[in-house]
Order: sequence, then structure tokens, then C-alpha cells
Amino acid sequence: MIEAPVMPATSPPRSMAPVRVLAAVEGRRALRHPVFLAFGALGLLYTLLAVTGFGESNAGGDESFLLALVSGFGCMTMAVGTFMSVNLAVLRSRRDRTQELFAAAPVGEPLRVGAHLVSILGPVLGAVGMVVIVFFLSGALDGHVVHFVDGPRDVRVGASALLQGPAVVLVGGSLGAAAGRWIPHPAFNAVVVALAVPQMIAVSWMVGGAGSWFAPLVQPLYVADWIDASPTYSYPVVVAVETAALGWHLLYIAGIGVAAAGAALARGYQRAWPRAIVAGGVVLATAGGILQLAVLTT
Amino acid sequence: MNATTVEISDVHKRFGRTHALAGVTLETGHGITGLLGPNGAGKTTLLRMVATVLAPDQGWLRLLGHDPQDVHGRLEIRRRLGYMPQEPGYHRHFTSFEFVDYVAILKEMTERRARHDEVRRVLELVGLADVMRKKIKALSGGMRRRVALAQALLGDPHLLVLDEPTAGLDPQQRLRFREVVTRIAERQTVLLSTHQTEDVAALCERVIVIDEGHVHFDGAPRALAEQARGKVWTAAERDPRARLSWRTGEGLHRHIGDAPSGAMLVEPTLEDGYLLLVGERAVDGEETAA
Repeated sequence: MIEAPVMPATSPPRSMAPVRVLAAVEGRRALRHPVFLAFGALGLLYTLLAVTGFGESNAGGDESFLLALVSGFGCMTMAVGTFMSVNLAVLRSRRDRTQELFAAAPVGEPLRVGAHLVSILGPVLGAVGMVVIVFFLSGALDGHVVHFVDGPRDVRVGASALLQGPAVVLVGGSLGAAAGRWIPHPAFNAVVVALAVPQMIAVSWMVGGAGSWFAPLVQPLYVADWIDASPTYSYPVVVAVETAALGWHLLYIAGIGVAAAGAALARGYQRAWPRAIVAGGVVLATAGGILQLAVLTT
Repeated sequence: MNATTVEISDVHKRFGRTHALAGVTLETGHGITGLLGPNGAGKTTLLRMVATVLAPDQGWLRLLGHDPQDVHGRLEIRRRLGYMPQEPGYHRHFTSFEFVDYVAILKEMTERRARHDEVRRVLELVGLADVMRKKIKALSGGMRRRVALAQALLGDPHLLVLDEPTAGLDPQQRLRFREVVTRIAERQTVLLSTHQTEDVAALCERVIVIDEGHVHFDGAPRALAEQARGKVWTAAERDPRARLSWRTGEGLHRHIGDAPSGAMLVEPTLEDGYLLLVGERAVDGEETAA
């Protein structure tokens, strides 16, 4: 049995080049990871089927649903895949017992964790790609996502809505890294994900409730009215997208991501700066959370 | 006398109630130094300290002119160190090339083309050029050991620390290993632990026998063998007066201990000297290792 190395990993790097190179390797591996591919494909497939099912001929469809897809709801499963693939990558040296071998290398554990965090940019780029595809397929090139009920209306999505999906993937990866560092049991983390994700999705789909804005992804819309399509079915008519609150919401989820990244770095590293990153992330998340609700209640 | 690259002074290490190292002091320079000792003797603990992954409870080390307790010193040592742990571990889903490449990045080899050339060089050195694109999980135990050896050779390290590098290698692979390591030792310091006395006899200019955390012998392999001169004899039957005895392939019993008068004394080997020194613990250790 290999014991954990006791020499503290505090070696300063010659440069950050190894982190960059390692992050590129890990990023490529994350994008090829079967878990990421499975969850990413699931999100993409679901989104494509949903988006292509809407359009001019589907005027009676739920336009809030389409808006949610454009706002990155398909990225939710990708975020789960990113969480799991990054988590497994962070746990790889523990699982394969390479800790002692790697402990004797000049690039220490904090830098390796840093590389894992940077590698999340790979899946984030994947999420950007998915949002771009959906944006094009939904005919929102002119900015009008909703333009099939009663003629074009001024319902536009801005960058704050489009960035939600990639930001959630970033958060998923950071949380995966943090969980890998603090709770080094992939099975436990998978169970947590399986329990938490349905709850988050349910909260995210709640329209209008302030509580829904604490979910990773929110429905960024104002509902003017509900149209009764039949005695048993009605759908909301969207009149506007709440872009200001969405901006603060991005700050809120970015703060969570920063705090998680700091937590991943802080584990086993006796320097103050990772803890400062955690504190900064908590401040950002708190500020973003308060400000998004403030916008909504005014 | 070549320059001293490894200095170890009065080093102690405890794991709970076990005193793994109890005041080890030694110095070594260029060439190959072999550590011999039964299982649990403290060899691996000592090598882990030299590899900068374990700190002593007491005493000090100086490696390649640097103090491993110092942050900057440790980094400088690691930049010039090759380490093959007893249980190196492998990323099973990586190919041998990917794994050695990954370690090369951890050794700050960031320029892609030069790094890949170096990875190919060390894999060729250990005879894995043909299987470098195969996943490690598909390789035999001996091939995996060679992957571990290959990563240790990256960057032509000034200090090469090898913990039981020949375990699981077949005779041909061991011969190849000897060729590689002797070539490196012409310029660098190699510290290796092994249970194979024939490896020590074939490779090492110096052998250190460790048992129960203490250095019991430090000298040339021939000198260790000489310790058993006059204490090794053969007979047709097992002699109960011998400390250790076993039946050889020739049908004779080889004995080690205080030879009775008239015994048929034979030329001692390194293994005889080692067994005489650590006695039954070595035999127990070999059985445990097997």
C-alpha cells in the first residue's frame, strides 16, 4: 500500500507552461471521456429534437421552452458530464496509485489541480458550440427568439442568456474538481449528482418564483399571459427576457465556480491564496444572488 | 573519488510503533549503489526519502547539493531526479506513450516535439518501441515495469532512484535493464534496491545491506562475499549445525554458518555473505516477496 507523501507540495513553478500543456492534455481527455460524451450527446440530441420540433408551423408550441433551450438548458446534462469527467480525472492518480510517482516530479499537486481546472475550458467550448447550434437552428439570428405567435415581438436574448449554459458547464467542472479533492470517492459523487440534478432542473423550470433564480440555470423570461389552447392545456406568452437579472445571475454562478475552484486548490495546500479565492468566490456569488433578486423585485 | 551526490546523516523514521529507519548514515556518488535487505528492512523508506516524497523524523539529507526540506532545494532535486517507486502505479487507460508523455510534462518538458522525441527515446531504451501505442492495461507485468523504468529515465536524470526495478522482469529484460542502467551510471548516480543478489553482483560497485532500520554492511560486493569465506560448505546431507542450509540443484546441501572441521568449503558468493549477515530474516523476506 502506498502511503500519502508527506513532503508538502509547495514548490514554485519555473513557469506556468507545464500547467498550460497539462491542461491541454486533460482538456482533450475530458472532451473524449465517455461520460462527458454520453451526457453531452444526450443534451445535444434532446436540444436538437426539441428545437427542430418548433418553428413557424408549431405556433402553438411552448415558446418559453424554446427560450430555455436557447438559454442553454441543453448544457445542463453537459455540465453533469463535465462534473463527472473532471471528478474522475482529478481522482485518477489516487485510483491508479500514481501519487507517489508524481510526488517526486517538479510539477506538484497544486499545479496539477490548476491544470485540471484550466482543462474545463475544453468542455466549456463544447457548450459554446451547442449554444451556437441551437441559436442558429431556432432562427434567432435576428435576436428574436420568439417570433411565431401574433407576429414578431421584441423578445430577444442577449449574451447574458446565451452564456448561462457555458457558465454552468464551467461550474460543473469546478465542482467536480473540488469534490474530487475533498470527497475522493467517485461513486459517492455520482450518487450526489444523481440526487441533486433532478432537483436543480425542477427548480430551474419554475417560472416566476424568486427561488428559481438560485438554480444554476434560470428561465429568463417575463410571462404576460397564459393562452388556453384547450381545456386541459395552456402555455405562456413571453413578452420580454430579463437581461439585467440574468447578468447578475451569471455573476452568481461564476462566484460558485470560483469558490469551487479555490476549494479544489485549497485542499492539502498550505498557502493563503486558495482560501482567498474561495472567499472571493463566495463574495461574488452572494453579491450576484442578492443583486439578481433585487432587480426582480423592483 | 567522485563527487558526493547523496549524503544521508543519522536519519530516523517511524511509522507508528515501527522504527523503519534507526539512524542511517551514508554517502554516495556516481555509479551504482545497491541496497539489499529483507522485506521491511527500511530500503523503500530510505529510497522514498532520497526521492523527496518522504521527510525524515530526525537527521538530514543532502541530495545533488540541495536540501530536500527546503522548497527551492526540493524543486531543484526533483528537476534532476528519476524515480521508479516499488509500486509505481499506472494510468491503465493511457497508452505507454501517453503515460510517459504525461510524466514528461510533470517534469517540465513543455516543448512538444522535444518531449515526444524524449518519450520515444526512453521507450526505445527499455524495449517498448513496438507497443508504445498500446494501452497499459493490455501490457504484461514485465512491460509495465519497463514503462515505469522508462519514465524514470526521462531527461537523463543526475540521480536515479530505483526501488526493485527488476521485480517481474524475465532474464532477457533484466539483461537489457543492466545494459541501460550501467550506461547511465557512467555519468550519474544510481541508487537501487533489490532482492536479487545477482543483480547487485552484476551491476553495483557498492552494496549496502540494511536490516531493521540499520546499515549492517557498506562496501564492495566482493567484500560482502568475502565475509562468508570459510563459512560456506557443501555436504551430501543437511548439517544441523549450519545457520542456513538448502539443497542445490546438484543434489548437495549448501550450508552457511560456522563450518565444522573437515567440511568441504566452497567459494562464497554475494548471496552467501548477505545471508550470513541478515540470517533467517533474509530467507523469510524472500519467501514473503515470492
